[in-house]
Amino acid sequence: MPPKGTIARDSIQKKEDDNTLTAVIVADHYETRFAPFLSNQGPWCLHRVCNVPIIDFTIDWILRTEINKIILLVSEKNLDYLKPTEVRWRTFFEQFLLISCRDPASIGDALRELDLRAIISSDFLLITNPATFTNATLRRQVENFRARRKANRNNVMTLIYSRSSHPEKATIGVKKADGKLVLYHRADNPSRFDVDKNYFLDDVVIRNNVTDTGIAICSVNVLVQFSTNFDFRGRDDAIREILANEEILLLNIHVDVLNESECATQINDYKSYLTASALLMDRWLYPLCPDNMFQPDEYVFVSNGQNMYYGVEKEKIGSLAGTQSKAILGSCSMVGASCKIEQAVKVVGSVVGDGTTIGLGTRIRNCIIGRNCRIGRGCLLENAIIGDSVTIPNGYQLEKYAILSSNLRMPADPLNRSVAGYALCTFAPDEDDEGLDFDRVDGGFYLWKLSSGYSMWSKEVKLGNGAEDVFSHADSVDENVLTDEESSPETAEAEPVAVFQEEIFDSMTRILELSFTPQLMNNLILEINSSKLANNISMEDVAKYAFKTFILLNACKTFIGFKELALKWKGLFTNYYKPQKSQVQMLMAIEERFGAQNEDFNKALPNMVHFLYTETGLGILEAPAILEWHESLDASSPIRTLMKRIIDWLKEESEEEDDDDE
Amino acid sequence: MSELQAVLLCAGSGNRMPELTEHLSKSLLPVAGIPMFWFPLNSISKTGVRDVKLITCEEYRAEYEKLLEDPFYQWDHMQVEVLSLPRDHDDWGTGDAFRHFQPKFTHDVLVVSGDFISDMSLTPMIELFRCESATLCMLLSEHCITGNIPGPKVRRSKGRDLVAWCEQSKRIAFCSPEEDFEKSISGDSWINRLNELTLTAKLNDCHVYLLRNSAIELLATHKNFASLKADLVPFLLNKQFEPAASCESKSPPTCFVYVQPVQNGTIVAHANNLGSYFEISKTILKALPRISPRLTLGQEINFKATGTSCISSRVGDSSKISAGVVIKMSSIGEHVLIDEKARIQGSVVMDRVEIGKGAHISMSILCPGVKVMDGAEVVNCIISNDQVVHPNVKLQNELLEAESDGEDWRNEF
Repeated sequence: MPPKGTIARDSIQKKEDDNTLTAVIVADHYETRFAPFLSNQGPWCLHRVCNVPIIDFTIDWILRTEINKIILLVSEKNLDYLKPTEVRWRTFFEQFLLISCRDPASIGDALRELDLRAIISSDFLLITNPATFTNATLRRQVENFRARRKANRNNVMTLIYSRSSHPEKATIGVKKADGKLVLYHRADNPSRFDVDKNYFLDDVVIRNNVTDTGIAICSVNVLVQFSTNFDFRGRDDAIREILANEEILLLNIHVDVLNESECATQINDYKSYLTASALLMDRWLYPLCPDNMFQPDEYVFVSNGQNMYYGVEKEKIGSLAGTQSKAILGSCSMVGASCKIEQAVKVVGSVVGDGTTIGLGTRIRNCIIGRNCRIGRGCLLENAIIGDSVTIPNGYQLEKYAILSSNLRMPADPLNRSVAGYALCTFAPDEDDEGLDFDRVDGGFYLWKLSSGYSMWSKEVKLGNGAEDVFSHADSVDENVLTDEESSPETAEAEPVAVFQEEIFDSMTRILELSFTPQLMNNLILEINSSKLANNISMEDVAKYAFKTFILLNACKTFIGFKELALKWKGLFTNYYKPQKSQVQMLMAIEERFGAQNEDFNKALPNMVHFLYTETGLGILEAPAILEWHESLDASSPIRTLMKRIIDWLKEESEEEDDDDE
Repeated sequence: MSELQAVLLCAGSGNRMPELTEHLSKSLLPVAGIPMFWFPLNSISKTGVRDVKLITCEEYRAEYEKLLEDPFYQWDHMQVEVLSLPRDHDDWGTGDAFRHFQPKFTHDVLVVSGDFISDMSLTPMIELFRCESATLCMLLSEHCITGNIPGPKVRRSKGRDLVAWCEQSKRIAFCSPEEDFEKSISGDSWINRLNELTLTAKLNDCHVYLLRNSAIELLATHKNFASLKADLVPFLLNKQFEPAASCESKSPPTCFVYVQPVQNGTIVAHANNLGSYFEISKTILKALPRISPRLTLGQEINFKATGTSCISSRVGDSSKISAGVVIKMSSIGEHVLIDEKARIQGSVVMDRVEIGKGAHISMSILCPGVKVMDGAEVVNCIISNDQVVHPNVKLQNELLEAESDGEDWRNEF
């Protein structure tokens, strides 16, 4: 439709006085990383950050600028999702337009559609990622842009950067005098910075200590760039084109850096997702804070001094009664409405969605958890993103940098492979989604990964050997916000093993006082797991000290009593002593208990081992474990003589088996 | 201050201004009627440094020693030792000189070029060096004086330095004369270390350095380093960004830059070229009282009595100025004779020059012993030692040297 376009552009020339600024927001995200959370769940801009849809934050900060016209570009399939948003915000603006684009495959497609329709006639604020947050009013930047544009019509674009102490390590070069962009490198672009003599003559400042906010002030000429170059996918393409063809196009791009008091951030990957949530909850973006947000729902957020936010029903505003505030120890976190939180839960730097249940003693750091999840007791979740309606069993220790999409039921046993930097889903990626691969893993899950080899978690990390090492360097942001835990006084200096042993001894004696039910055994296992996590005890030590504690119990003073209780608590042993290593640890616990003082015990030792071995007894131990342990004993050890009968018998038995095999 | 030694480099031959240095060491050229090296010596004295080494060549050693006997060149707290380069090593660079006299340098060193003329204080720069524990600290200025060059138009280097530095941390990554910058180089290591860099061609290296003793020791192991500026400084700058070799326990050097702010000093000149020398000779007159109370403003000329006007100029005490002469923006040396109604504007007139009646001198340099006869007109010229400009001759954009035959000029006009 060339004629239409030309007419539109003619009218632009006439309307030069039209000085108003329109905000153009691309509502969808074209980042394959977020696909696990976006398939059939609406556009990216309705995804929630701090339990608030992203677009509400975006429009909220736009309200604080001089803009009173908004154009939202959305793909056709997502149009209906945005109707409620339009209804809610329409009255705040002079113009609020939803533009549906037919199957846009990139930001470029959406912008081409916009240009084709010739809706924009004035300068505009281009926000290519709705998950862009700032507390700046952009007044100075807009003024500068207009002044530059007045001086030269070809100054068509201003990129807004923020001062950031956590640079993406993207290098840009601007002229010191007027901020004209001369060098533009993205962090993911490995091209090198070569010093050109002209940079010296032009007084160029090269820096990588600023971060692109994703906000740009543009004139319509920028849209024309997209329409004339059908292969342009994103904003960067247009920027590179303008820089590379400076002599032909004669267009200039400038860079404006926000003040130090102004904060801006955007979400590009899961790492920045966590960072943005933490910044919002820690009020770095004030007045853009979760509890300042306009909430249409039935509840609002209230917060206490530690920046703990709780979802509260509207009629209960002003009190923390009815919230979970007593159960939770934590800071810089948000707990949605209607959550069920059991006692002694610790939440730091995390967001918990509405209606989620969290079990006793679970600890959560730097996580984003969706709505209606069920998190078991004694879990440890760190640096993870969890979708809606995910179930996590008791005592689960989730790997760092795991991404769990919605509706997952995690199995009780740990997965047989690492999920750090991958996304675990219940479904396979859409075949149309380029750039995504997947592996199938146990339990019918799909493990998504990027074909580019980069981590799903962070743009800066490539998966491969030692990926976890890279992570540990990369997440310094999160660690800074949340270091209170390590410094808390309760981290006693006592040996963790001793503390562990004491804790489980208490648990066991308490259970002995109660009448026995199978449920009690589950609780005991839970408490042991929880102590294990709290004291950072290895699985082998658990096996050793659990049994050592067990035979120290009063009820086990006699061999009869020991047999009785062991049979009763069989559940405990089947839970911990399946692996051969654990069985050896069990035997070593017996060995340590062996001594001159308890003659009764010494005599009963072979019987005890026999009891633990035979099917008529407990049937926990297996022959290889006993033989391995026996090998490790000192030649002079009295246990050797005591055990001789059993060992001989075991050897005979295994030889017989071998004969049978033949 | 005993933590620092100072070195005044006066061995430079002045190869960027051969027109003037044929008969005189560069650092002995007169500025405001006194040899140029007095100015950097005065700047050093203000820092409180006690131990000063003056490096010159054998040829001029006696001259410097004689001058230093004069109380005008002496400061109570300061000892100046003259070191001369061996006679057969005239081609030595500054690096070679430092290596030769290395046993003399026991402390960190303030290196000042003999052609550095300024009323600024070097103390803030020493403070920066001290508090940053810098290996190297160099003085750069945006306001280095330069100006038009009299004489025939010759294509000369712009004398610009290309500098990459960080305005926040004052670290410097790169400094090179424009002529030496050939192919483009990678700046990745700079930006990764310093995060923000300003690349500019506006700052000039004033050839004032503060060097750790450890840096001077490097000269002993790197025998090929002939010059401080061209070899040692780039070596230290690069070394900052190299990953430290495992065998070396020392941390990499850190190089800083003190950029002269406008508050510190009104004039800075690195008078190693004609333009800069010519301009500083004229503009320094305003700053003389600030530089030192020892300096005089020359003789006073009474306009009412003689009808001679002297505006923004300095005239040596022993010069004789007749009536009706106009002197503007010029520096007149000692034992100069200026006859009636001569007009001198924007020029440097050195010792023992004679200017005839009604002669007109404008934007020119007259070397010692020049005779300009009555009615001659000299505009934008350099007249070499003892040359004669004949009556009523007009010279413009010329260099008058001994080789050229003065007779020809008269015939031509």
